[in-house]
Amino acid sequence: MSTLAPAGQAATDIAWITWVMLAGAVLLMALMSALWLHASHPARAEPLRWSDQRILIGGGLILPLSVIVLLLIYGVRSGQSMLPVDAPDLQVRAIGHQWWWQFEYTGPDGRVVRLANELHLPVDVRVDVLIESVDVIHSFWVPALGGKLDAIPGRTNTLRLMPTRPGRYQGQCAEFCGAGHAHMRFEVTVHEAGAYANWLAAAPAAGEVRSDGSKP
Amino acid sequence: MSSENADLNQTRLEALSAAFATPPGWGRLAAVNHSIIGLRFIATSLVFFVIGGLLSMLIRAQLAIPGNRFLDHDSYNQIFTMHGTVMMFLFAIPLIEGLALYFIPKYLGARDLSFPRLSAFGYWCYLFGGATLLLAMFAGVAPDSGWFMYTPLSSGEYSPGINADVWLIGVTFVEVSAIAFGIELVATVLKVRTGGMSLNRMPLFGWYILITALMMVVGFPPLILGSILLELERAFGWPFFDVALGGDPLLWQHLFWLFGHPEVYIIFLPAAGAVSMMIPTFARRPIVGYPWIVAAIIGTGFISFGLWVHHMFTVGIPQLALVFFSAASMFVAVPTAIQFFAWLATLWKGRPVRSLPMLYLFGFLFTFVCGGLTGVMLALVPFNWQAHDTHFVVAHLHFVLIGGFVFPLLAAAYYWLPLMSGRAPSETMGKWGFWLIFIGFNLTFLHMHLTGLLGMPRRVYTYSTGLGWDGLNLVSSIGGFVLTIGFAMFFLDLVVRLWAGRNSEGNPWQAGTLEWSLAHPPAAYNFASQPEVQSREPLWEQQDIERQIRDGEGYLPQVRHGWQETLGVHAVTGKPDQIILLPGPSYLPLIAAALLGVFFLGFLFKLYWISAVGAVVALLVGLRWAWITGLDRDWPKLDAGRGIELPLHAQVRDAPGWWGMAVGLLVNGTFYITLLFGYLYLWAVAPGWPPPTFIDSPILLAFLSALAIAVSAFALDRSVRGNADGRPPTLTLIVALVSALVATIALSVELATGIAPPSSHAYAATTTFLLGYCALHTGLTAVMSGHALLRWRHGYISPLRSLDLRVIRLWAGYTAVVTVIALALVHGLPKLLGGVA
Amino acid sequence: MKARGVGAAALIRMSAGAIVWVSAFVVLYSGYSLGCQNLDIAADAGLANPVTLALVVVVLVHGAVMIWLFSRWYRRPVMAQPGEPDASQIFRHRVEGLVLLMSSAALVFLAFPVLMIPPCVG
Repeated sequence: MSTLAPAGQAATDIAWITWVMLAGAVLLMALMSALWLHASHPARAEPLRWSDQRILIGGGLILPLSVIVLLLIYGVRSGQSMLPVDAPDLQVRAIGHQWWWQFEYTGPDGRVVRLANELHLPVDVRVDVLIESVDVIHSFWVPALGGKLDAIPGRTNTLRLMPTRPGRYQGQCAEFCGAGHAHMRFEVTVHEAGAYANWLAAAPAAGEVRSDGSKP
Repeated sequence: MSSENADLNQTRLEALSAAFATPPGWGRLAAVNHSIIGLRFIATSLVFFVIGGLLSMLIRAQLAIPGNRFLDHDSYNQIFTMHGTVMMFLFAIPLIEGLALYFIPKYLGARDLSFPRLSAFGYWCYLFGGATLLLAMFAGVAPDSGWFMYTPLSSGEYSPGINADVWLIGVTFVEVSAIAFGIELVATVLKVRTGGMSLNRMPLFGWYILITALMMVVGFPPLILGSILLELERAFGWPFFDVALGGDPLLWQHLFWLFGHPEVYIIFLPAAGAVSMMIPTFARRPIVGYPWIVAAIIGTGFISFGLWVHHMFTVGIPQLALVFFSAASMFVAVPTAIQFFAWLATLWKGRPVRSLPMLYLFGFLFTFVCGGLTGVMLALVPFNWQAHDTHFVVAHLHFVLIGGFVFPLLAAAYYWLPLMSGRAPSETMGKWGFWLIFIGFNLTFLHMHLTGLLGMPRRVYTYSTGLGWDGLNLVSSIGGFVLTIGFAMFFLDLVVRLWAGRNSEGNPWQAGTLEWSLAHPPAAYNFASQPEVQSREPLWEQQDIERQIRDGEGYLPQVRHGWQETLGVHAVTGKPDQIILLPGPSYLPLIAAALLGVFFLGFLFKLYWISAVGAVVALLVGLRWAWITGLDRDWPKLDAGRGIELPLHAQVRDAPGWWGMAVGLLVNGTFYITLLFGYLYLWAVAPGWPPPTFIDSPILLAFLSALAIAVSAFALDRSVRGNADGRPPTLTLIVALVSALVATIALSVELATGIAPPSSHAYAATTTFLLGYCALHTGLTAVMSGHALLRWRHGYISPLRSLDLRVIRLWAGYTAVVTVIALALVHGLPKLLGGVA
Repeated sequence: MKARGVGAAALIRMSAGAIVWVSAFVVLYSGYSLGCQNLDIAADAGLANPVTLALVVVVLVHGAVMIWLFSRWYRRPVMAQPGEPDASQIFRHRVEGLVLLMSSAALVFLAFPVLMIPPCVG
């Protein structure tokens, strides 16, 4: 479930900027605390001689502006790169129910496969998850693969994922959705390309999902 | 001073005390004095703080270990919903209100607020609304859909019980007091100051409260509108948020966060205002960069309305829209940094002294800067996609709210306590309290950032083991209990001190602002005479000012006719321009709030006829309230002390009442604009449009409504002008009354015959709501015109005393504009955008 | 009733820059949303598309208003109220200038991403 142990492209990018920002935040914290402790110390040497203007322009305008300009430029570029702009290699529907996830694949032969709380993806492939809801608002989130996106009644939201490492990962509904919210979990298995094809071929046919979310 | 003069002065002070006194016994329920109302707000909010704190202990107890069975999901969901609701609506905002009501007149050198009865009314609304929520919790039917109440989870279909109604009705009831506060404080800060206090000499606390009050005026109407719409959906099936019938659940989120984000700054700014008062005192020098801070407050006030979508980064909004909000969210760091560096520079350029409040202020700096930095992180869109709705956000928001609100107010509590209670501070327990709170807080929340990054979502009542969250949560729970012990220590200290503290000498911190010239605790009338100020820190700059105040050498030293008088000044220059007569104690605020409670409770229990009765009687009481204000004869200019004569406020153009109505219309206008936003939003964005039918009524009917209300507004304008020239306004008022009635009837006919049932489609529901809003306003215009007619006949209105008429003219002008716009939209949009499904 | 007499205009003038910024924000956000709702702009359309151009025009218009406010601020001190002390006028002038400065920076900050990405994606 950790965002700091990424196994997907978006999650890897975000984990990197998380560390960068955390480091920056610690630095600024230390700086501000040190300045404050020094300035408010009754026994410190002598009052500051800089002009008011200089302090306020430097600390109030230049310091925060230089940080946020860099951050915004990075954020725009990086956010853009995570969007489903080009065509995906695979589409999966994820439908939120109180309180389970239904996943729907259409195989190459047109056969529809439906699964409950179980998602299978091939590695190194651009996947678009089409997120919908049949009742209240949910949020689809697999921290190891990328950010979350809400499932909103009446809409279809598209989340681009690209798993980079095979393995089993946890997913969880991230938007409060009522009594069973805490248990609205699912498991993602990222397969090697060949293994994925085998899995899909062997997967059970449509309609084998029980409404309580238990696996068929 | 000779002993004879001293006796005279004593007699004068006794007369002031008598004029400003609140009756004993049951008469306390009639209290309107700002110190009493302020203290009631503060005490009540602290009770809610304790309740909210206990709820958080239950949350931490449940999350201490994985798979805990201490609470089930149902109680947990009620508890976390109530924790958020109590802390935001029943603790933070009311505490701010209480502090401002108590301190603003003292900072501004005034004797009371502009509308003392309005703040008493606000208090009762707060108390009754809060009690509703609390009783529901004890009955086990507390709201359980989160303090953000996202629909459709909070809709009738998925929350069929009374729980969600309790939230919508209780919180709206409390919001009435926030609106009352906003109007009260804008009018007070601008008009009710002492002589010479131009804008540049106003203590920064006044600026912070002015902008906060304006933000409340603009920020709360979206929430009130959203709550009304959701309650209409739940009660009558009007599908504003139901996607199957043309509604959209995202409209709720927009309305909620349009309020919800400014709310954070509404909470932070007053606390920053308290910081801005303490820092100069302990640095022993005036604040650095006063205009910079004022500019930063103004900037924060505006920019904070451009951040709300950063709570909605994951709902699927196009990237560039997210970037706009991301940019605004980051940019708010700039005004915040300006304030921080101004405080820092003040300390660094001064000769700081050690004190207990300064210790808490360090806690504030550390905690709030940390919360601000994680806030900038969360403003980064991709990071937000991961961190949103995890415990990272839980940690961030507690750093911001406890750091930006609780720590500065703990500092302020120790700072202000000698003034408020007359008891001197003692250091030891306060220091213990600080370290327990500071360590407990960080032990709870600092590593919770990591818990969130490790993937723990918010609002889960339990979690399974083996995800790396177990130890982190256990530490958080332990920290939470340390934090609670710290707060218990603080409250214990408070009680001990109030009970058995040493008596405080005057101005123990040697501060420079006016409030410290008062007796500790202050008299009901605050100032024995209102001083002429010549600087921002009069106690530092103006020798002898305390004696001048005490000995009656300032403005309005004498009581006449038993009146409670305070000075009114020009909003910018601080030049005295009127004597404001303050209303005395009255049961009307309590009665009005109780009737409003009848209205709300009728809704809660679906007994709508009781609601209707409550609303009508409340309107009658409101009219009575308006009836007994004002003067029934003209007065000449009166001696105001210091050799000047001033008119009474009912006889000047620029009275607080006029400002009150203007700010009230700002509230109303914001409500209306938000309503139009919702109307157009659904039209443009919601799936399920166009609707099956559009409005179908003769266009002539719409023209008749528009024409009639325009005539009414015009007739009221003629009334004001005629009255000023000495002509009786009888005829014009009758014309205004009749034409407003015609407009109301025409709108009602259109409502009854032209629109499909509101429950059939969001189009019909929003159109009905919009036209109903107009009909209500035209109806009230008629009532007000009739009221004015009666007042004129009874001598309350004269060419000199024209405030009534000018206030109604303002209202009618507003009504005419909104009605014409609404009718144009309702009839024009279908033709413009066309297409029926 | 003239607002200047009661001081409301003085307060609004102190906030002028922030008001322009809010206007830019509202027009950018709503205009962009409506534009992308009704026009089909491809993800690879580049920056020469009607929506981006419209947004640029909005930014330029607001920028021009900011510059005009700046020049007015620079040329003329505030309108004195009757009996207003000099310090009060200087104060209002400074606040007006600082709010303008902050708001102009905020406008640029808000606007430059418009030129970084195609508008209607995501």
